[in-house]
Amino acid sequence: MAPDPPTAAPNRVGAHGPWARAGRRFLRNRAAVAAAALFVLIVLFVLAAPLWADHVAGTGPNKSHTLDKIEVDGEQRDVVNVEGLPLGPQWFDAGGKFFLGADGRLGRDEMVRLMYAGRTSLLVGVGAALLTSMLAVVLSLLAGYYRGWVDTAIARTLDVLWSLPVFLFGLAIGISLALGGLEVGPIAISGGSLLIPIGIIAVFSLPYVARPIRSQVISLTEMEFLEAARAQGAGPIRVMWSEILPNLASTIIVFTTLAIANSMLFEAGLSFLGAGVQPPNSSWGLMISGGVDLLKTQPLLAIAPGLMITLTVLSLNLIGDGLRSALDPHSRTGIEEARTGAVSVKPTEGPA
Amino acid sequence: MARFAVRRLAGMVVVLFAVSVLLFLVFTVLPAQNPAQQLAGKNSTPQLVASIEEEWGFDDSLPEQYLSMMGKVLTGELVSYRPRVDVLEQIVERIPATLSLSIGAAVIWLVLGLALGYVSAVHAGGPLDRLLTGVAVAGISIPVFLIAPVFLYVLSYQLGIFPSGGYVPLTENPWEWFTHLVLPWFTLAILMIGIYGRVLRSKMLDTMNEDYVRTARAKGLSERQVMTRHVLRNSLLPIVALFGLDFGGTIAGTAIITESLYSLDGVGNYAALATANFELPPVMGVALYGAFFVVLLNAVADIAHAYLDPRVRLGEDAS
Repeated sequence: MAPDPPTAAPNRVGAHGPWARAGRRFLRNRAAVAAAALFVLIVLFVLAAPLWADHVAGTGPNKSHTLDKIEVDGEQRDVVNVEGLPLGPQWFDAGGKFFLGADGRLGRDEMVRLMYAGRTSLLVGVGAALLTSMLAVVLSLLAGYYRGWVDTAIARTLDVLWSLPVFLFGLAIGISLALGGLEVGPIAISGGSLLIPIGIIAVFSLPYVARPIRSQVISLTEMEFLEAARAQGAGPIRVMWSEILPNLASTIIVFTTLAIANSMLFEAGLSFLGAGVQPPNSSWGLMISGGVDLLKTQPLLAIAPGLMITLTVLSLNLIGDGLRSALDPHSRTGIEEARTGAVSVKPTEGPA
Repeated sequence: MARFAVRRLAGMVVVLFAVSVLLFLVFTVLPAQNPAQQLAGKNSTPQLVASIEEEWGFDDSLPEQYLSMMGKVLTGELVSYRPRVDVLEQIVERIPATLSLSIGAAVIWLVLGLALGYVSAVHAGGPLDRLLTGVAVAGISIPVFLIAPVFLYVLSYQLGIFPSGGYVPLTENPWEWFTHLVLPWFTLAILMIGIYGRVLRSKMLDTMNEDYVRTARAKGLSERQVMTRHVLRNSLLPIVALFGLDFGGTIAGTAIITESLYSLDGVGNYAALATANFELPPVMGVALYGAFFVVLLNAVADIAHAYLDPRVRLGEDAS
């Protein structure tokens, strides 16, 4: 038997790629793994919406039951009573119908609505975060690679965006577009489209993701391997795409995860004030704004969607933190950087 | 130092200008409906619309409209469309509520946030640190949308300990003022406690690795002295900048949702209502008033930071 060549020496650490090692570090982080499991459960919960609606509740998210009665323990009950107050949570007393009760005068099934609204909330959160990250990466690469006036223009724009009363702006634009929709040349977006909140959130979240990525690109451009790539004749696209971008992967992954959490909070804030997701779509933020009016008698109408937002945001924050420490073991920080923007100190002006 | 301050304040004016132009454009270019038409109502004659346009200046060119609006902002003559009231007066009327909310919440979040960060950093890696870090992450993740309904339902409707909202001026009844504000204060502070705790903890862990900390230990200072005089003091610098912005933000009325959930009629609530009714003048007024505070406190914090840390004003550490 020939002896193993020296390069294949059983150096356990070196024998695996950085991603495999990061994966193992992540799996050792119990809080992060639990959070990931929770997030998967939440996704399954919202994906199961049609199943629950068709097979358990027997109704749709926008179906009104104002004048209907349901049978509970052989007794007929109004979904909405004569005073206009909705039915409370029935749990499984009515075979799963009105599990969390009805949502108000319209007598819609709260549980079915909660599941469908979660789809919208997650969709907007993930969509906005992905859009923000893509824009942030493109702008950072351009700024970091070309420097000079390109960098100045991008950096100043981000600075201005950074110092705006972001939430107020989002509110104004959200309401404006919800009323009139958007028509720019051949693109026409109707007022109720989810693209509107996604776009608004993506633009206003940009500085929080773009600033740390830009500063990383700038420090990368001073590295010798880029000089080597250029010396070999690599053009700008090649340098940006295959030399710089792979080195940004871990930062992008961490900040996108945290950006989903922040986008969902932003969406909830906008929708709560009527400037985000528009009916007939619903989102958790929109459900809370409907639920607070009945807080005294039916607290779950506001608290259930609030709890869903909290669990989702908590799980995403913990996953982001876990990814951060798994991908970059030397870093001790996490959420607060997404909040404070890593470079200079500034909190997100999320809804408060 | 003076040059740094001047440069910072000049930057502030530029930002305020950019904010005002952007806001103006958002409200004049985006809306599908003509504001004159909106004011005149649905069954209005074209003559009425034209006269409203004339009166409010909606038929002027955009730069003219912008200039006349900014002139009114600066002289405090801005008037809202409906009802026709002085915007500045409306804002000033609501400042006490917003200021009460901001100051109380700031005291709570500073004290608890710094305590959390300090204890966490001193016990870094231990079970207490892990517990407190968990508390901080939970605090950051619990939005006001959950805190406020739970507080209101349990502490107000069920137990009846606190009133369910509204604002009582301090001068009218200090005790009522206090009880009406306890829930909003904590609602707003919980998020900040988590953020401040985590920022302070991570800065303190960085500072602990500095040479001067080792020197301080070598000099024979007690652990407590090293921690408070050397580590904590140097780690507070970023907190100063952070606090300037957060506090500026809440004074500026960014706590819109907290104000609206507790029916606290402050500046944020005014802005939210005006936005919903598509009234440009109040939104412009509040946003500029808000941006002014945010930018001013940001600049003050930066200058304080530069004063406390010579590296910043000499441009060594200015990233």
